[in-house]
Amino acid sequence: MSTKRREVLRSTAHLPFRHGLLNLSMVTVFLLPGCSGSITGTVASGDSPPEEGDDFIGGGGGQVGAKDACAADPSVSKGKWRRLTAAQYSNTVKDLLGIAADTSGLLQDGRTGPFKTNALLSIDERDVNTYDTMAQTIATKAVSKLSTLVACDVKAQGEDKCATAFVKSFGARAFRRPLTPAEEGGLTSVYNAGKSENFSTGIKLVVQALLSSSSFLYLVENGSPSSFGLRKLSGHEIASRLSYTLTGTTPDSDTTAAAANGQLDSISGIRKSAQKLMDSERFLTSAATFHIELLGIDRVLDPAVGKGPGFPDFNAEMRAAMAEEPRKFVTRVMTKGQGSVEEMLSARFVAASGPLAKVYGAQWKPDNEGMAEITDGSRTGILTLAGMQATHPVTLSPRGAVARGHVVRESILCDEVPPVTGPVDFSLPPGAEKMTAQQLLRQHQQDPSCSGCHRLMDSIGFAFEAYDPVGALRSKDASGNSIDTSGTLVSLEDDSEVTFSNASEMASALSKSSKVRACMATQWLKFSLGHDPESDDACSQQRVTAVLARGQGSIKDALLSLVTSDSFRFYRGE
Amino acid sequence: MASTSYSRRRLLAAIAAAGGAARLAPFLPASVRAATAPKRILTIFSPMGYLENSFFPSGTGTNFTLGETQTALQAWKDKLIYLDGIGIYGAPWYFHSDDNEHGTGSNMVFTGAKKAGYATGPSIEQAVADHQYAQAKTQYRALGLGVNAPSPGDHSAVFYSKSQTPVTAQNSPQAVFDMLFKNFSGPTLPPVGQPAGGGAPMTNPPLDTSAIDRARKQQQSVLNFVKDDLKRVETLAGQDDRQKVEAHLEGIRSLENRLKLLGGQPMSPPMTAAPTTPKVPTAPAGTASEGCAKPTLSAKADLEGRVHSQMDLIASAFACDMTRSISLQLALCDGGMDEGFPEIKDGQHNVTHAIGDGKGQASDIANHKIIDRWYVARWAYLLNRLNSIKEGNGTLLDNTLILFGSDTTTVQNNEVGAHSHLRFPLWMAGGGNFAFKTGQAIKLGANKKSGCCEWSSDDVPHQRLLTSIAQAFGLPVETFGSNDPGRGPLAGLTRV
Repeated sequence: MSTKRREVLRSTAHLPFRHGLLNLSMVTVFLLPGCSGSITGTVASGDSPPEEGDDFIGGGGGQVGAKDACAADPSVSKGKWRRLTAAQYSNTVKDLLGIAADTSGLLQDGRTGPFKTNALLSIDERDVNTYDTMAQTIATKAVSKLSTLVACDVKAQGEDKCATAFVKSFGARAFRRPLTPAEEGGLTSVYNAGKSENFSTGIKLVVQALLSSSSFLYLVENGSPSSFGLRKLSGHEIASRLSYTLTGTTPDSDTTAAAANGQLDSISGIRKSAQKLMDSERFLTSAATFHIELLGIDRVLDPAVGKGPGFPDFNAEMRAAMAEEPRKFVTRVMTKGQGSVEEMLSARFVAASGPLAKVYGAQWKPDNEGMAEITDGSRTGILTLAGMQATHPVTLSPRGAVARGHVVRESILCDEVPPVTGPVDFSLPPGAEKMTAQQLLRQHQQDPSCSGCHRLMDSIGFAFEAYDPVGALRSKDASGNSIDTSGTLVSLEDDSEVTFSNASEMASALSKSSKVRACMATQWLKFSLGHDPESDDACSQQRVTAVLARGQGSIKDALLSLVTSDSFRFYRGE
Repeated sequence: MASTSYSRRRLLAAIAAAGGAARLAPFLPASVRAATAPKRILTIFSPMGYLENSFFPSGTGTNFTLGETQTALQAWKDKLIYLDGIGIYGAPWYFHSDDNEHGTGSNMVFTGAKKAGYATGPSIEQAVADHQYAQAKTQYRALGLGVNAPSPGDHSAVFYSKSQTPVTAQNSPQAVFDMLFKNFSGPTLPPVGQPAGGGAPMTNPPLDTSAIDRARKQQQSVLNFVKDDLKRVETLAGQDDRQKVEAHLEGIRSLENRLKLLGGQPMSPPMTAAPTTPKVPTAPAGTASEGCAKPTLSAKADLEGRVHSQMDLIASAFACDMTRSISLQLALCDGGMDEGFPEIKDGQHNVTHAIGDGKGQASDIANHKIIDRWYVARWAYLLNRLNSIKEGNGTLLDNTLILFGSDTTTVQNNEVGAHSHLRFPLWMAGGGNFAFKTGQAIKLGANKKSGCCEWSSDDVPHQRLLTSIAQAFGLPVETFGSNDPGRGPLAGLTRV
C-alpha cells in the first residue's frame, strides 16, 4: 500500500458512513509496521538509554535483532514537502511581524492520519489567491509601523542601504535560512518597483513577495548527499522541523543561531536545541494539539458536531470549554506530572469549572487552575474527558460505542479497521429499542460477516457507555436500560484478551500496554514528519518505541529520541 | 446601470481604483457585451439521491408530470430534463473489493472515470473549464463551492480538476464573497424576495491611469519574484513535490492573468479551433450579463442560509462572467446536511438504508420524502435566482447547464438495494439556449429491474451523458471518462 493511499484511508476512517456488505475476504486488518507488542503485553522497565553514533543511528537500542539490520540500512522514507497549516501560518506571521493573520479564507487543512498537515494534496488555485490577498493585507499592516519593521536609521544610512539590510535580515527570517545572492537581487528589484512611489511601498512589496513565496509557504527540504542514498537535512532545515514539531511555529533566534553555527549538524546539538524548545510554553501548546487532534476533539467546535437529542445547552461556551479542557489536561500532565503516556491515559484530572462543572458535577472543587481531581474512579485519563465523548457521541445508540471504540482502536492502538464494502442489513432485531448497546451489538459478534471488524471496536466502546452524549455520567441509557460498561480489549496479534469492567480499568490497561507505547511512537512520527511512518521509517519508529517502553513512557524523552532519529535528520532522495 | 461611455479599460481601472488594491472585478457595460452569452456549467452534488418512485416523473417527452417530491420545481418544468434509466457505470460495489458504494459513486458520478484510490480523470465541469478557459480567460478557470463538504479523501472525493487531484470545496460563503466581490464596485443584488435591480448606480470616479499602471507593475514585480522562487524550488523537488510546485505555479499564472485584465490588455486570444473541433462560438472573457451584481449574503448562517448564499454567489459569479464552471458539493453521506431536517431523528443515512434494505417502515418512506423535498426546495431557490437574471432574449438559466448528481440513490423494488447506482437520478436543468432541448422526460431503458447486484443492461452507462455534455460545450470527444464500456453521446437527448 502506498503512502498516499494509506494516509487517505486513515484520514477517512473516522467518517461514520463506512458501511455496506462485508466481503469476507476483507476481514483482514492492516497492521502498521512497527506497531509491535500486543495490548496485553505490558511495558518493561529499566532499559538503558539508546546508544547514539555520530551519524546514522538505526533502531537505536532496545529491540533485539533490529539494531543490526537498522545499522546496516537505516530505513528512512522519501521526503515530502509540507505547506504550512493555517495554524502554523498564523503563528509564523505573528512571530515575524507581530500581526494576527486572518486565515479564514483558506481551504481546510489536509490530514495525515488524525493530524492536520498539508503534505499530500497539491495546493488549490483558490488558496494561491488567498495567500496573495493575505500577503498584501499583512504587508500593508506591517509598513504602517515602518520604523519598528525596518530597524535602521533611514536618514543617516539612506533608504536604499536600509532596504538592502532589511531584505537580508527579514528575508532570512521569512525563508528560515540565509538568502542566496540571486534572491537578494530579486527582492531588490521588487523594492525598486515600489520605491518609485515611496520607500514604504518598496518595503511593503518586499514583505508581500516573501510571504507569497513557496520558500515561505512550504517547508522546502533539500539537504545534501549522504550514505545509503539518503540526504542529510541542513541545519536550517532541521531548525524548521524542530520548531514546527515542538512549538508549531518558525524557528526562534536561538534555534536559528544554532543552525547557523553548525550545532544542528550534530545529534548533541539537536538534542540541546530540542530540550530548550521543550522548556517553552509553546511546547505545551504543541503537545496539547497532538493529543486533541489524535482523538479528534478539535471537531467539538464544528457546528455539525453536537446536534440532535442528548445535547441540551451545547452552546458555544460549552464547546469552547470542551476544546480547552484537553489543553489544560495535557499542560497539567506535562508540567506537574512526569509528562508520560501512562499519565495521559490515567491521570484523573478534569477541568471542572465553568460550563463543565455541570457535566462533571459540582462536588468536584476546581483548584486555582480550574482543575479538579476526580477521586471516585469515574474519570481516568484523556479518553474519559467530556470532549472526547461529545465528538464521538452516543446519540445514535448503539453506534456511539462503535464510534468511541473505533477512535481508540485506530488512534491509540494504531490498528486499522478496514473499510467495509457493499450493502449491509441495517435492520434491527425486534424489540431493539429496549435493548442496551451491548445486547444490540452482540449481534455483531454472532454474525461472522460483522464480527471480524466489529469485535475490534464494539467491545472497547462499551467502556464509554457510562457517559452520555456530552460526557456526563449516566446510569441508564437513552432507552432507560441500566448500562453495562464491561468489555474486552482484543489483541490482533495473538487474539489474547484483557477484560475490563469499566472505562477506568480499560484506560489503566491501555496506559501500561506496550502496544499503545509503540502506537504513540508511530503517531508522534506522523505528527512530526507529516507522513505515515510506514515500513520505511521502521528503524526510527523502533527507536522511539524503545524509549516510550521504559517506565511511564516519558513524552519528552521520546521526542528527544525522535528528533535525533535518522528519519528526522535524513530523507530518501530520488 | 453603468454608463456606456466607459471604455473597458477605463471601467476596469475605475473598479480597481475604487477597490484600492490590485484586484479587480469585471463589470462590463452593455457596449462591450458580445452577442453570444457565455456558456456555463454547474455541477451539483447532494448525498444519497432520492426515493425512486417519488422522484421520477410520470409520462414522457414534453408531456410529463413531476414526481411527487419534485413539485417545487413546477414553475421551471419547461427548463428541466429528467433521464429515466441511466446507471453510474463502474460504481456498484461488486466492481470493487476495497471500496464502498458511497466512495465509488461520489468519485465516478461526475468523472465517469476508473478509480485508483482517487479517480483517474477530471469531473465534467472541470474538463469543460479547461476547454473554455483556453479560449476565454475568465478571472477564475473554475470554482469549487460547498456546504459542509469534508476534505476530499479517496473514499469521499467528488470533483476533480484532473486525474488524482480532487477539488477541495470552499465551504464558507463569506470567503467566496471576499474572493470575488470584496473590491467590486458594481451594483448590489438584493436578497431574494426584494425587488431586483436595486443598488447604487455606478459613479464615475476620477481616473488616474498612471496609478493603475504603477500598481500593475508593482504587483507584476512581486509575481516575478514568486515565480522565480517557485522555479528554483522546482529544481530541488522530487516527483511528488514537483507536482505541488506545478500546481502552485499554475495558481500564480492565473493571478498574472487577472493582473493583465486589470491593465486592460487583451483578455482572450483569438479563437483558433482545431479542424476537428465542432464549432461552438465562445464569448470573450468579461462578457457580463445585464444582471451582473454583487450578491447580498443571507444574514442567516444556518445550513439553509449557507446553501442559499452559495447559490447567490454562483448566480453572481456567472452573471459577472468571473468564471464559467462551478461545482457545488453539499456534504457527503456523512450526515452533513441533517441539520436541514432536524425532525428526521435518524438522519438521512439511516433513513435511506432502512428503505433500501427492503424493510423500510411507512415512516421511513415519509421521512425520505421530507428529506427529498428539502433538497428540491433548495434547487427551486437556485433556479429562481438564475432565471430572474435576464440575458439577451433569455435568462442566465438558459445559458447555464446544471447537472445534478449523487453518490447513491434509493431504489424500492429489490432485495438488497440500499444505495443503488442503477436507475440513477442524474438530471439536468437549464442550458436550453445552447445544450439540450429542455422540458423533457426521457425514458432510456426498460427498467425491468433496478437491482443492486449486477450491472443491468437496461441501464445506459452515465458516461454517455457526460459525453453529450462535453460535446455541447465543444469538446472534441467521443467518450468521457475512462470507464465507458462503449462510446458516443447519449442517444435520446436532443441538441438544440
